[in-house]
Amino acid sequence: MSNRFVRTAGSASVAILSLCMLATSAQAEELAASPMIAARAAFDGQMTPGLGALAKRGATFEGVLALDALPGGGWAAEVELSYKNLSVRYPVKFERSDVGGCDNWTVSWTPNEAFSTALLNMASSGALPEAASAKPWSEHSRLPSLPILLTRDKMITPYGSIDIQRELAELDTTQKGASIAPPPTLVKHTKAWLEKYLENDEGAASVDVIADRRASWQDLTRVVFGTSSVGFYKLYLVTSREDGSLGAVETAAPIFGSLPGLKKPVPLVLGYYPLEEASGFRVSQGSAVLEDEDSCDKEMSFCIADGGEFDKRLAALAAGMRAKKPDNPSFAMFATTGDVTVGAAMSWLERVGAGLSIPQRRVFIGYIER
Amino acid sequence: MKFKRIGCICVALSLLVASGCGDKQTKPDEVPAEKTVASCGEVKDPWGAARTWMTAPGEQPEEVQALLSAWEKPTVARLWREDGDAHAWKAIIASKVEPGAQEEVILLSITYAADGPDYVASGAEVGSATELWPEL
Repeated sequence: MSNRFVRTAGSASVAILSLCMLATSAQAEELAASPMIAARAAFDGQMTPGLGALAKRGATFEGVLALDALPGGGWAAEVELSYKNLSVRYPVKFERSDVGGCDNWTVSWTPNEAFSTALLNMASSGALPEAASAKPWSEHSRLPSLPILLTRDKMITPYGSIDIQRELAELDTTQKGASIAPPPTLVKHTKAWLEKYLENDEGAASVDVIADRRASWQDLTRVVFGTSSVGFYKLYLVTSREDGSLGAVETAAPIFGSLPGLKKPVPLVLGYYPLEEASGFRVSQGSAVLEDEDSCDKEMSFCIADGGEFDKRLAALAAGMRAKKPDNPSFAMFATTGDVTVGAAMSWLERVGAGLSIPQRRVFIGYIER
Repeated sequence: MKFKRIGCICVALSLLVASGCGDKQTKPDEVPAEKTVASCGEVKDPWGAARTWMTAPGEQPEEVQALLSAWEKPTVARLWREDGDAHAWKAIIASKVEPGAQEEVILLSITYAADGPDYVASGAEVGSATELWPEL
């Protein structure tokens, strides 16, 4: 604390002097020379209702994960929270100002109280889809993402909660694509994220979907189409790993022009159909469909019972295709029907990249209309 | 925010007690000069390491030196953690906060120094923004 200040305190009472000393001490702390310092101070001081909600639930601040300068002067960031031994990504926004030639960082935005609480609830609910091999969520090297919580009847974004059925009831169901039309409010929230949070920096547009495994693939597709309509193609589906920690499977909306360097790509499509006693897959590329006389169902390319068998099938498929054309397949689409749950789809989706020996981020997700 | 709350109590009390907190409290946002200097440029975290490197990069490969000297005001455009234990970080140093996809930028590696609680720049390479970080 500054001696100069003590001298100027004059004859104030001891109680008031103490308060003033506290004030001055805090005043000095106010100058945060890095985003890491500012984030910790904001968490410790519970400087927003969202941070207050996190603290109330017992979440602790672990550090900054990523920081991205935005065109309007703000900084998008994600921090790592620890909650019930889980590492949770949480978006914040910083402002950086110049104070006497020095940087001063402040946390200028966090999600609100309701979202912050819902995020912790969902992350620790035990209801996330399982993906044993997914990379830990907090270890993805990436820019901040728009987090969207998906339950069986709601979507929750940092801007509010969306009642799926109520919004869909107002849509025209006779229109093409109505079965996967996104709730209009989701599109509004995504636009708000792009404009307010990202300051129209489209390069940083990606989405974290933190979904209940019992949510339908149809509703997940609504999220994908709602966000990709605003230009958010990259997706991270947050999962529960084998050890109970949080993982994230990287995937993408089926907007093929979003892949840099690929011209007129024709994806290898893996259509997943749950059958009574097995899982059926119909594999196609363009108009060509993979057929196997031994398949359990004439409509299916192959039927399998478990993940290990799926891995072998995909590896053999990719090897056969590459023998004819070395760079094929370079990417794939995993698609299934609307009634399949996110949990059931995830158990296959997470294996596609490794099975075909392509990066998982080159596995798109799609929807099969029945 | 924390300061403002306490500062308000102080100001309120000072209205009740004639002597108050002294003249300094009439400008609650002013930061004591010595504190400003002390906290400026002394940050020992990944951000501080990137900032320090930009002002004093030391001996660097020719292409890195050439870029740095060509830029009027190099800036940290992105910074991210590379590993789970926060020992490895990367930063994109560019001529502006939003480098174009094909624009040349510097990818700076930052590592935690085992002999102290400091982060240091441990390597720099030049490439296009998309080459160095396909995420972009």
